[in-house]
Amino acid sequence: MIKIIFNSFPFFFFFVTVLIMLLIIRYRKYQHIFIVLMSCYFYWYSSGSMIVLLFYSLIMDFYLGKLIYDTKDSKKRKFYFIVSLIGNLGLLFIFKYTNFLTEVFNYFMSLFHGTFFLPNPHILLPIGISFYTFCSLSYTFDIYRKELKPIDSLVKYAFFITFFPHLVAGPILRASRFLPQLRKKIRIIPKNFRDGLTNTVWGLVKKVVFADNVAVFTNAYFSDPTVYSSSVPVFFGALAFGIQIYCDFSGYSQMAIGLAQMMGITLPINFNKPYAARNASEFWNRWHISLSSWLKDYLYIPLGGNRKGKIRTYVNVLLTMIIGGLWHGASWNFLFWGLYQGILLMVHKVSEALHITALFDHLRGFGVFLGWAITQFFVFLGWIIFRVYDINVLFFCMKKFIFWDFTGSWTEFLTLFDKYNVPLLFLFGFIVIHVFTFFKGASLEKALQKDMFYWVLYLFIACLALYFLAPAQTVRFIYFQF
Amino acid sequence: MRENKKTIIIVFVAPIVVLVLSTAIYMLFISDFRGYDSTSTRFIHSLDFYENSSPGSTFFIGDSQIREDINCNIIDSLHGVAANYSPCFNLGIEGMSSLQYALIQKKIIDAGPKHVIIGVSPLFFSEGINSNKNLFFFMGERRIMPDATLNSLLNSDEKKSLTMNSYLRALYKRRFILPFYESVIRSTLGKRSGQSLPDKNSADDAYFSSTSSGVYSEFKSSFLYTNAQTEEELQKKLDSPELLSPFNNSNNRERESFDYLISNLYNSSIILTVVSMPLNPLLVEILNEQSLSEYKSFLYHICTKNQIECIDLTSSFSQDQFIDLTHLNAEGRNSLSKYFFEKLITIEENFSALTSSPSTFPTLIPRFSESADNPVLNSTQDYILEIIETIK
Repeated sequence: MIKIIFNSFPFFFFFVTVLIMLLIIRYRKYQHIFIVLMSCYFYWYSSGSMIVLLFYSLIMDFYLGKLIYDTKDSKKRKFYFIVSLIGNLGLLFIFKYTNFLTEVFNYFMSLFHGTFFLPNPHILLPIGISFYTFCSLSYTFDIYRKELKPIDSLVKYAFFITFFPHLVAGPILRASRFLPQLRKKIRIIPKNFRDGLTNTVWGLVKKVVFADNVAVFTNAYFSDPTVYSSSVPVFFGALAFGIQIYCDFSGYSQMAIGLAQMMGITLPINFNKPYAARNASEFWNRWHISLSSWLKDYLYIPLGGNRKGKIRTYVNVLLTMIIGGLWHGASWNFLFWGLYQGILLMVHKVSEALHITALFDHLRGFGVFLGWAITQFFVFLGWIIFRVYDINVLFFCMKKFIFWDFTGSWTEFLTLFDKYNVPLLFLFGFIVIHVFTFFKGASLEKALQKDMFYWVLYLFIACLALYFLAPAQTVRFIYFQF
Repeated sequence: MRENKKTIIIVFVAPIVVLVLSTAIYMLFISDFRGYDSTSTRFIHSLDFYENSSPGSTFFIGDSQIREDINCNIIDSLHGVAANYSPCFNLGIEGMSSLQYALIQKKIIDAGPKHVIIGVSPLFFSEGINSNKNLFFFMGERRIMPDATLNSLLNSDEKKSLTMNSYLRALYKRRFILPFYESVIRSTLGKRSGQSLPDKNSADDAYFSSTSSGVYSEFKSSFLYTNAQTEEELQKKLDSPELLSPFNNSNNRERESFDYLISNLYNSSIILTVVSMPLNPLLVEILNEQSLSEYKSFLYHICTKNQIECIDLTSSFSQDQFIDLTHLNAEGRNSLSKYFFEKLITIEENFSALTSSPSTFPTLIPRFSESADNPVLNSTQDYILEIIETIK
């Protein structure tokens, strides 16, 4: 159970304390020690004894990084790197996939009338394990590829891994981009503070006002989608979940970026209007950017990327996306979702090879719209796979989503709207904001930089929205389960 | 340099000012929560208000059955001609449980009612069916401090909720804001499209306009159900296994709380009447006999132990007088309200006669029996039928 989360009051007091102390502490070294201690406290408060796993990953990779760098013998280097790989992925495997694999084993046993069944170990998933192991792994990977020098200070390395804004739900950091920032003393300056606060507040609004309100509808709808017979409810269900997960996760990432920014540290952006994507590749360049780029750099490219022929490229894409899907969680639907995303990427690559995408370009505006509409149709179909765990319900929803059935749709739409008018209004409200900001092309920070009055007004309106428009139940961040 | 200073001040001070200002606006807005949500959130506030208005009234307390089945406007208007009458207030709240009433029993006592009528049913004691999760009872200005008996019945979440500070309670109330505005929009659109609440007749409107405004009149009646249940919804409820034996599914906590509530109200010199509220014959038919019998035995035990009057109206209404399995329609409500009008006069008279005698507190004979052939119960049913015939 997470106790200090970004949208909680304990976190507000925690962060204010951190800022005040950073203003008081004058030396860079002590600032780093302080941040590491506070980050450990943040994690311990949420996860208790699971912090041991964080320390294990951190210490192991710090020393293995040094060993990989210092060793001249390529076999030894490889050996140390494999130890790091097994150490990190083994940790992830034990804590994330043991329960699932036990279930799979027992399922096949029962299918073939076997008599030997494994007891379910009921292993609890440590919060943020998928994020910090990937973060840590990228460090040894980069050293092994001779793209990075190991850092000499354990405190700095601990700062990189445990830094609380990104610790439990990303963005997944790269040592090569993050560590150079630690050469300077942390200074809380007005510009960073203002931009950081702007981001944090907007992330909070996305999560508390939009994601949590829309979740009221998605939770109710996906509890039993089979009660509706037409395709309209499943369209709304998929659309609502797509918006909810976007607001939830991008809201968290934006808060993480904003919090770090207030302390003068830059984190990479994680989302860039993914629902504006016009093909599957573009979608993955806009959605969970830190994960997709990690998978590309540390999995797809080492597998051979597109350098070993067309067939091998498609296999690599499929493998990468299946692993990406399983990274989200140990269950069949994430496996299917990964496979589905791999197929979408593969289809895009094939259509590029067959010059079908060029055909869309010839159609100009209409082609752009068509490309966008087809992409988003399949993206939202993917969200159904992501959200629905029961295989029968999943097939029901997919059938309704693909083979349109408008029998009684108006009545069902009215029933839905009558029952969930508040969540649906938030859904439409967010779509309007999203479309408007996309076509305007302006970022929030830039828009508010012009006049201090607008910035204060923005903060005031956002605070009132957080007070007055929060729903009855606060929903846990979706990506905390990964 | 001067501009830099100004920027620094604005960037670092403005967020604090904004936070304080928006918090103040919210706290001011939420402090008067009478308007938000249904009767549940207004309850405590009204009891506070009522404490300073006119003591000696009649309170109907219970769950949504009381809220929907009793029309205090009818009782009050009929009483207009009777002497020694105390005005009636319907404080029924949807999903209310014994424990929740027990937690606020002191506030009920402090409000000084002369007579409290508690409406119950087997469902009232089942936590799975009756569950008001809004925890409205700590929404008042002061915290609820349960005594040792109640404290032992509370779980850790409930204890935590009761010890929330003012700010956290104010935040908790956020959940009522959106539903409130939604209901405002719904009622506005409803009025525009010519829809109106089916039960609110011109007599009710006249009554409302003649009484003082604010919470005082809000508790005369609520009638929140505007639509009868569909066949499908009804069948879904009838198929619910929990509904079949609600008293068997209830836990001791609710029963202990009920016993505690009755004892405390009784010891505070309040005239108490426990009413087993009418249930749809459809439901009575399928209810587990053992569950019903245990429920009646429990009420009988409580009533004899405390020497209070209990009335069994479980099977006194016909199927066509219900809008669903537990709530009466307008006709049923009017019949029941008129029954209580008569009942209250009898109780008042008994009370006056008994208080003029040397005895300090009336001892009423229990009228509830484990026996299904109880003559008193039958006479109650005849009386109800007589009222229904008069109305027709």
